[in-house]
Amino acid sequence: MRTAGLSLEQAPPLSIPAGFFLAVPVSLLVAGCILLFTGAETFGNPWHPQTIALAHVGTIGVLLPGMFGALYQMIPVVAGAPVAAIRLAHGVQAFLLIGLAAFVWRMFGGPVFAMTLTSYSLGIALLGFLLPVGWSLSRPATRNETTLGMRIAVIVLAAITLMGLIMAQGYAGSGFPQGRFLWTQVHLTLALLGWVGGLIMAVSWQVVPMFYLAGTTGTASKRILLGALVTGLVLPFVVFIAGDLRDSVLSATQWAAVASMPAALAVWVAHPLLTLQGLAKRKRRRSDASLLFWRSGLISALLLLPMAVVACTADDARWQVLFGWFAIWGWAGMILHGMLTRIVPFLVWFHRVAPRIGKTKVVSIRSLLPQQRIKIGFACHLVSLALGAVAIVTQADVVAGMTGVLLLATGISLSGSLVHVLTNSGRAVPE
Amino acid sequence: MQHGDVQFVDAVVQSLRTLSGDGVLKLLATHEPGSLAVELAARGYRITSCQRREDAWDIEISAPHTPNIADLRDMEAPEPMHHVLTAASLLEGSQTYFARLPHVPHPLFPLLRERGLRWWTHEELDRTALLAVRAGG
Repeated sequence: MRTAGLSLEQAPPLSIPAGFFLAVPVSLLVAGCILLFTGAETFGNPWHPQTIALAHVGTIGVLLPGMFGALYQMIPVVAGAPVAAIRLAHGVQAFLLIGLAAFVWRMFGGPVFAMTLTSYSLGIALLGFLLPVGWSLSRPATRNETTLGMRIAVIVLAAITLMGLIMAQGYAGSGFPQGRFLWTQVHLTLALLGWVGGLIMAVSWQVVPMFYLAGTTGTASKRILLGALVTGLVLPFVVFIAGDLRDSVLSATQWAAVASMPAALAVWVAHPLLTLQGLAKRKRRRSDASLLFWRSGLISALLLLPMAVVACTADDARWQVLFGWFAIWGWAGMILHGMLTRIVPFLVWFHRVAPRIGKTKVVSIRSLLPQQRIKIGFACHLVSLALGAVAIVTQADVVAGMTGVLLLATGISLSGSLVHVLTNSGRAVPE
Repeated sequence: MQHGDVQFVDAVVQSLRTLSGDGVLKLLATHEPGSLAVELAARGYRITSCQRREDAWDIEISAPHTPNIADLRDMEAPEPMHHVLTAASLLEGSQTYFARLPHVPHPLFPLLRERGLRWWTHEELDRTALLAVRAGG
């Protein structure tokens, strides 16, 4: 047997993950406002600056803080390795916020300086995250597929950060890199499959059995999925390096998409199917509204590969927007939203309730966040997803505006739930 | 008994000499415990074994005074932590509490340390964990 050496100082204080998680609904409010004021034009073409702004509010504003908060919290738990210089995380969050705000400003006609500010801010934020997190993940006390998946995701994040910063120069007056579409395709592939997909897979292997008593994915299956993921991330780079494929039947962009197929199959087909199968085999079928998000997100994932194929081959740009909408808000957004409704009560319980167990009567974790609040958030999220799809297909301004309103409602609902958990834990009824 | 079996039994007996009266010995062996289980049972030890691979047996030997091991593996987080902390708050003298958990409970350790408790964990091959918590610093 071994004794562990974690001290209270090594576990992240609640303020760090909570700060990142609270940024998620704020970004949802920004996304809602963008749609409300720009209408269906934002849903018409993926290359439109306001569409790029909306996509990055979704990724850097909604997904990134949620994933950063989760990683800061989970690395000491899963890997048994505390993240060094943890207080640096507050600075990371501040620079993320500044970088995103400057990016949106530039996309809506702001000066060239705004993109320079974006590059510096996001560069500093990502460096401040990657160095300590990468260091912790390089020397985990526990080595398993979850820590391996986290490592892959973090390495990919470093790559997409670099690519993003280079591409951002196009908006900072220095011109886009040659082969902009290929750059974008590889950036998108790495971001969605490597960073988001890799992390969702790795985290789900740990938290789905832990929080829902779901059946576990076998070690061999996990390793095959990780192998397919890495293959599908490396092959697009080969296309990227090969570059000039003018004599080929497919464009370089399409070849890059084809090359990512192993990763797409792992992340958008095998992982959702295995996880849904695991959830169907729950050992104790206690009702839990956060499962609605998981199931919806995993079902959305199953739609992504066919959508991606159509988006890569069809001339109609709306398919690309529809794919992006379902990838960010349907798949990753749903899972992240569901995770927040489960992990935030857990953190509050851990930090504020657990130290009192055995000394006084304590509240149960389920009393910290009423299921009704979670269901309202889910309803808003689901309706906004469906309305957004309708708006993309019909290009109707009124539907796009309604989608914006539903995004605002989702943001308000989520912020209400998070604030409720973070502020009302002392008043919850003792069990 | 074959030659390999003699060496195996000797190794186990050596290990048992260092085991406290309420402790648990975990072994990963290439052998099935076989007749050893009968011999140890006669001396008050409890022995369980599970074949993990063709050449890997996971053997667990509990001393005569080892308390029952609580099985918390089929509980949603944070229920296992809740059970361990509740049980740990009832420990007296040099009592030990044992529990099987779904995984190594890293977040629990700071809370145990804060209460002045000592703990040991053993990660099983299936990634579940055996936890021992002892009172008395």
